[in-house]
Amino acid sequence: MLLQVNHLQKIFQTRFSKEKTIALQDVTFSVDDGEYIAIMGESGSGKTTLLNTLATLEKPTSGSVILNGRDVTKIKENKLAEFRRTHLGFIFQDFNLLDTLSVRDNIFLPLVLGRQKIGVMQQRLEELAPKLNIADLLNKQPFELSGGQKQRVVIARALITGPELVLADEPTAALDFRNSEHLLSLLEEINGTGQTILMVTHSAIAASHAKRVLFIKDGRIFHQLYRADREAAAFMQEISMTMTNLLGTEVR
Amino acid sequence: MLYLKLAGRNIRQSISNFLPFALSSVVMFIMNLMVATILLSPSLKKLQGWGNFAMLLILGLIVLTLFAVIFMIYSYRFLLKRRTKEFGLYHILGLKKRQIARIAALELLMMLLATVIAGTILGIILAKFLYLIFIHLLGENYFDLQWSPIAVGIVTATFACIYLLLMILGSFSIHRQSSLELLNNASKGEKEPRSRGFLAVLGIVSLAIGYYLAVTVASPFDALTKFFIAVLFVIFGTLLFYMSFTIWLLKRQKKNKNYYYQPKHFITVSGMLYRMKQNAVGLANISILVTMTFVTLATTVGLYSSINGFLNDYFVRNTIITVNTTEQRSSAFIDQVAKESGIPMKHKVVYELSNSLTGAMKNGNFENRQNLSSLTTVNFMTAETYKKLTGNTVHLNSNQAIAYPAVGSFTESSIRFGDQTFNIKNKINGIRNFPSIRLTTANWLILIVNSRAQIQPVLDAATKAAGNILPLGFETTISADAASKDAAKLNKALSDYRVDGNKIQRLDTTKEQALRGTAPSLLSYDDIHRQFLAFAGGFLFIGLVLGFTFILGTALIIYYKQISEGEQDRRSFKILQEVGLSGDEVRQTIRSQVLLVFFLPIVVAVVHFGFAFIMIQKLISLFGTTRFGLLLLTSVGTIAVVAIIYYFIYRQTSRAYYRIVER
Repeated sequence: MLLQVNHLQKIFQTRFSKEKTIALQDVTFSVDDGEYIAIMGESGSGKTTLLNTLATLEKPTSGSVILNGRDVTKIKENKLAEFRRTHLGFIFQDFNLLDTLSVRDNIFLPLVLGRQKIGVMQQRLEELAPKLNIADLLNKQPFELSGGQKQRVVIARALITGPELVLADEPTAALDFRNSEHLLSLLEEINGTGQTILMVTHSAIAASHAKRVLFIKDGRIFHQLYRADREAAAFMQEISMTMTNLLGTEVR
Repeated sequence: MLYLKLAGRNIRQSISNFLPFALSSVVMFIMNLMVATILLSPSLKKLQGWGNFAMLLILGLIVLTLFAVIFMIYSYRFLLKRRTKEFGLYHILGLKKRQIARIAALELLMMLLATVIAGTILGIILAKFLYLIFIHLLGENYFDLQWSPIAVGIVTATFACIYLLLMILGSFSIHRQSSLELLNNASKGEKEPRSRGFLAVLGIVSLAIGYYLAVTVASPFDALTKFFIAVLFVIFGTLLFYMSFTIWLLKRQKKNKNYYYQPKHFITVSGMLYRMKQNAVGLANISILVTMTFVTLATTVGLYSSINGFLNDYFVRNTIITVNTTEQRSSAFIDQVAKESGIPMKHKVVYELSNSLTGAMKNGNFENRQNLSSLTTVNFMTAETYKKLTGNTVHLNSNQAIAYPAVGSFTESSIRFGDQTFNIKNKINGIRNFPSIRLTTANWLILIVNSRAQIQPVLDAATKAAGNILPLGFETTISADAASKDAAKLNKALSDYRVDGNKIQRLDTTKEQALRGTAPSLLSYDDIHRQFLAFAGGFLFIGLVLGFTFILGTALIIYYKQISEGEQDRRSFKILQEVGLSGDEVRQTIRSQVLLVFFLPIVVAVVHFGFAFIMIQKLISLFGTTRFGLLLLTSVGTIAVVAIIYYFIYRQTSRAYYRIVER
């Protein structure tokens, strides 16, 4: 087992009011090595809080997140950055590329922060770039790229450290349909090589590419679906049905 | 009316965007206003050499105006860039571009109005405030910083022009872009600047020319005329230096992969490189303002602190009387007048010199004409007088002389006056009981010769050149210690006499009568000291006001840089933290970035100042001779003080940066 999430609870309380917002009530699930999991839910369902907690960007009120036998919620503040850098990979919906760096340097960023040797960095990039079809973008600046290209660069940045877990936050939100499809099949391919991916989304299409979908509402996991050997399209229908029936909301 | 409403609403609503722009506008206005106020103040005309000084102030005003233009464009573009989304929205909602441009222009008009009102009020308050503070610090001086409507008018007109320029620029950039571009512009990135070798060379050449002009200044008058040109070259060169040289340097660092791909350098170098284009203007402005602060303060503080020094050098005794006749007659005459008035004179030193010959000295050739760049005053002293003063006997042939270059340098082996030539036997560095400076500006050379007869032809030639008004001969200087009250009394008694070479005559007060000759002159240490302090105090006051104003401007620019960069960097640092840079590392990175930006302008300013030093020395010598060591000391002190203030400003504004980045 790669990741074990136990009774995770997160309560937000603003400093000046007594009103509490419960973002996560009692979330428990586990992820096996090589899995591709989508966490689906509406806006405000707590899925982003869940992702942030897994990403160690937020501390839970109670509960634990165990990655490879290590409780990440107990990691000290000054060690967190290093932990994120070495164990996790991030794909953000708004790319989060640095304008000040070229595409190549953006991809190198986590390795540079980890004080890797240049030779190692270049070697890893050489392996990665053709797979992601970004070899001829490396010398450009981020603002010269299209959305789809940017997202591929972000994936390269997430993968270059060889992370145990890739966390994706609405990776297709800023992309058009064609680029979304392209990206989703790319993620599937990456998963095919054994990379564990955990994606948060509210799009049934995006979720249908995962192997397993967890549904979250009001801070609780409600249900889960396995894709098994189905085609993405068929799986998507079931996800849509589940969303409509189980959560009692329309699927966008 | 609708536009007016919209414009007003915009300013109120995005006040956080407008505030830095308004701040820079007001501070620039105040800076210009302060200089203009000093320039137009009636007290300025009371200062000795105010004409030269006014020229410097006009120069300062021009430089500041240039600054204001550059800086206002810079901050307005910054404002526009952050508001393009808003404009794009208007456009999509159905406003024509012309109408949007009109709204932008109206906004600017409101800002101008606010600037003029706030700037004038704050400027007056600041002027009064500084006046009170410095009056307390320096004691009474007659420089009154008065509010002048003309100054306000001039500065307002200048700013109206600047704002007009901004309006044109604004409507230009609005018209140029499509609405979609307008919507997206705020998040648009910029290409990394190219390093342009041509600009780098141009910048360095420009700096070299400016420095060369500054270093080769030969005389104070030269300094004034060359000053302006040198300053322009240096400003231009500084700007180009930052724009090209620093980019080149950063690119080189980036190419060095082992250096570049280290966490600290990686972010710093790429960040600096990315914004070097904007940075260049800001850094150049800071450097030049800091240099201006150095120069202004060092000049005025140096001038103020040299007073005692050069008065001590001049006043061998506290009272100096000069009588335009031979020693024998003068001495007897003064003794008699002193005795009649009942004034005791102690520690008397009496010596005789030829009348001053003032003319141009070039390669050991003295000409009786006034050339400003090589103006030299020559006095002859006989070997007899020299022996009396020092006790040393010298033997000189008829064509030999001993040179004592009291002010300025003299390296020739001979000196020629028309057809008479003296070979310089040797050079001396001082004469006991003899002043080592003159109170006037020119170089001063004392030549010790064998006898009076030898130099009479030289004096006669000079008399002829001056138009035969007064025959040149010998004058006598009597230095003695007397009480201040007694000196005044003696001066009054002496003013009744006229001395004409050989005759000493007393004016008959009962009838109108014109006597040939000049009155014996009496200078008392206390009087001159008071006069010097008054005008140097006036200068010091102006210097401190200007210095303060420049520091204020520097603080503003640094603050502006910090907040604008903070806004830009906030996203970057957030990403960096998410990707895996710890809070400590973020702080470290920021510190190294900040330190670099802190040190660069100080270093550049110190280099600039080093080259300006010679010019400053010459400028101060307009008012009396300077002492190199003392000036160096006060300059170093001034630089240290300004650097500390600068560092303090930087630390404070860095906090603003941290706050923005870390929120």
